[in-house]
Amino acid sequence: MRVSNAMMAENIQNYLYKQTKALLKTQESIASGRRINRLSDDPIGMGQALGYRRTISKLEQFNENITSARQHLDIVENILAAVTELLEDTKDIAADQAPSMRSMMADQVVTIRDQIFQLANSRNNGNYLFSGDLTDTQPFELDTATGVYSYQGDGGTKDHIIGEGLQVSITADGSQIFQGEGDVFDVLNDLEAALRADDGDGVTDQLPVLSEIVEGLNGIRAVNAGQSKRLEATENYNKAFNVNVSDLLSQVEDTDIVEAAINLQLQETAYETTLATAAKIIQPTLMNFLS
Amino acid sequence: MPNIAGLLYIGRNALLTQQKAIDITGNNIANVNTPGYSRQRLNMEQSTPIRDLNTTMSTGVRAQQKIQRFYDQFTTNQLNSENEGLGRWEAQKTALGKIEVLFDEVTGYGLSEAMSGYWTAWQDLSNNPSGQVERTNLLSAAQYLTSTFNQLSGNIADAQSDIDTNVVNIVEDVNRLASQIAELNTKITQVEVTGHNANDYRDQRDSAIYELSKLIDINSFEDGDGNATIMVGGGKPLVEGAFTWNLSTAEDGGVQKVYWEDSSGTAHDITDRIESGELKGWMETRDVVISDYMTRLDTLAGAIIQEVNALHNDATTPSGFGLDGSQNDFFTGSNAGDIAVNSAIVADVNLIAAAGDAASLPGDNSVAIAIANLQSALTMSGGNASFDDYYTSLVGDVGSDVQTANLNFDHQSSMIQHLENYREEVSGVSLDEEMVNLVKFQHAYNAAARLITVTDEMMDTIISIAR
Repeated sequence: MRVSNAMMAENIQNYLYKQTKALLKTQESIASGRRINRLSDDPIGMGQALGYRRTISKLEQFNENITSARQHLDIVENILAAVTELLEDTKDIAADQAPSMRSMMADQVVTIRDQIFQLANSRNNGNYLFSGDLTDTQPFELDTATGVYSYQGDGGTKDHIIGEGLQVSITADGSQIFQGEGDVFDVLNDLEAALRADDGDGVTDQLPVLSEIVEGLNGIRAVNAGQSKRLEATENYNKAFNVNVSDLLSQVEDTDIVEAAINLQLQETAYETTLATAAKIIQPTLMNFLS
Repeated sequence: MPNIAGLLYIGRNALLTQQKAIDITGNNIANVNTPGYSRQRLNMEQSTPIRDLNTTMSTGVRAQQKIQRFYDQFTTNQLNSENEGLGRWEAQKTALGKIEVLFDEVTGYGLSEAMSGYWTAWQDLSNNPSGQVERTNLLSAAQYLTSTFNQLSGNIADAQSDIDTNVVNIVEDVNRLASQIAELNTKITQVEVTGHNANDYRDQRDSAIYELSKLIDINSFEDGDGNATIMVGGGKPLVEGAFTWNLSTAEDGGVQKVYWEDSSGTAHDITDRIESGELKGWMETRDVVISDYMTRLDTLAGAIIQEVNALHNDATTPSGFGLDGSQNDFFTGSNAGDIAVNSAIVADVNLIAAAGDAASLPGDNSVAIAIANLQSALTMSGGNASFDDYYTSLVGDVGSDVQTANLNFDHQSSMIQHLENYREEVSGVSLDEEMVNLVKFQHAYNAAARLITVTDEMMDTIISIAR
């Protein structure tokens, strides 16, 4: 087989080109820290990476939603705990047989009633907590002429997305909470009236109603507590899942530095060897030896 | 009877022939780096001796008039046909390489991230449906999504029109090369009809045909007179003898198409008959590959617009009410190029509908939740894929297509390299070989000169006999 000078030169250039191309690719993966630097490096891997990124973003958002829901539940719990405590105080008043300070107790009941009224109209972040969906409307309005407390909200719940296709609904219906088992305002009104009228029987009649209301509130608090536990568990699950998916993402996307460094070493050696042999082949000609 | 003058004649022939041989060797050495050069050799033969009654008188050496050109037609044909493939895949690789960069998914700022951000913004809104911060945030996430769509769509369309520029330029090159080949045809036939060789013109013509084969797939063959005939686009002649036909380009349906003009000037569309070469690479990328990407992107955008608006502005079972109780479309437009957020919403974020029932404002978030859940809903491919799945498969296809083009290009380059080596084996100049020839011819020249000197001395002797 004849070998021409052009053939040798061309071949050497092609080999060097191949070597430098491989070197450049390895260098790129080390410098960027990513194994996939363009879509064509690994189309399937890229697809997987996109899927993992999406999952991570979703999980983070779910946990944000859960945080918002838990915050809501915590505030509601605080309010209902305070209301329950006030109602316990009211029960003590209703159970008191001593008729001496009845007008003072009546004033106390008024104070308690006003406090509960304020608590029922609590807001969080500018939204009323117990109006259902009508979060810009005050849940309970007092008609000062008639002394009637009426509910202005509706029956909506507060919903949050906590997982793929999973939702949690938190009770926000003020009429159900405060006027469900018994109307708390009516009871307090009646108690005040009975105290002022010095009606002993009327006072003690309010006790069972108060107990029912407190039980109702405890029921709602129990449901909320259960939801809070569920949210906490979901949050932890999401976090653990996030860690796993992040790990998978890293495996797909990131460069294995050790492997890349070894490759770089091998390629460098190959490149230098190619250069050395090229120099040896390309230089001598017959003219060097003809005198 | 030997004739002393004949000796001079022999010496003269030898001198001239060896000198000519050195001349050819010198030409080979000078052209060692000329691309497409085929080495040449002087063939010497013994010239016919003069035979008379008693003796034979030799007349020395004679150079053949036709200088031999080392050339393998088969390898040349193979090179031309593989070059067509090289041109095609090189064009496709270049075009798709630019498109690949547009889908900026590797760094995470592409459409996938924009879509994710949009759906999570709806979830944020569902946590606080009347919140101004969440609404403004949703608006900006939506605008980022629409601008990403618009940009991607616009860039892909730009890439397509860039290809049109390339197509026009290539057709101009084809015409230029065709007229070059026709000119060389004339020169070659003129020279060869006189019995000489036209080796340099042949080399030039081979180069021109090789260059042409990269641009468009051709059928070429040589007729008995030495004319090369070139045919393109499924049998239409491009060059025949000294005549050329032109290719032209014209716009049709928003893209440039290639036409062949016949002798009467009528233009025939040969766009679909071109099978290989750069023209095929560019046009196939533009008309099949890239337009497929555009269609899929438009389908995705259209589906998002449709699905979101259906929930946001449901007319049949009225649902989707803004804080002011009005119903509005969220997106305007119908494809990736013109998708935009409804300008009414841009002006007033209170028009964003989170509530599903006008009576449940402002706390109801059923529509916000429903729209947020669209992220995982199977809305594409006849109910088999979500928006994200559809987009991921588009991105995966882009990557695969680029990979395929790269692989094919590497394969073709490798083939061409092997074929080039075969060609060099036959036609290439080896300086070592030429050096040896040079020495060889120089010795022969010296010997011939010595012969003349000896003859001269002999003639002197003869003359001095007669003095």
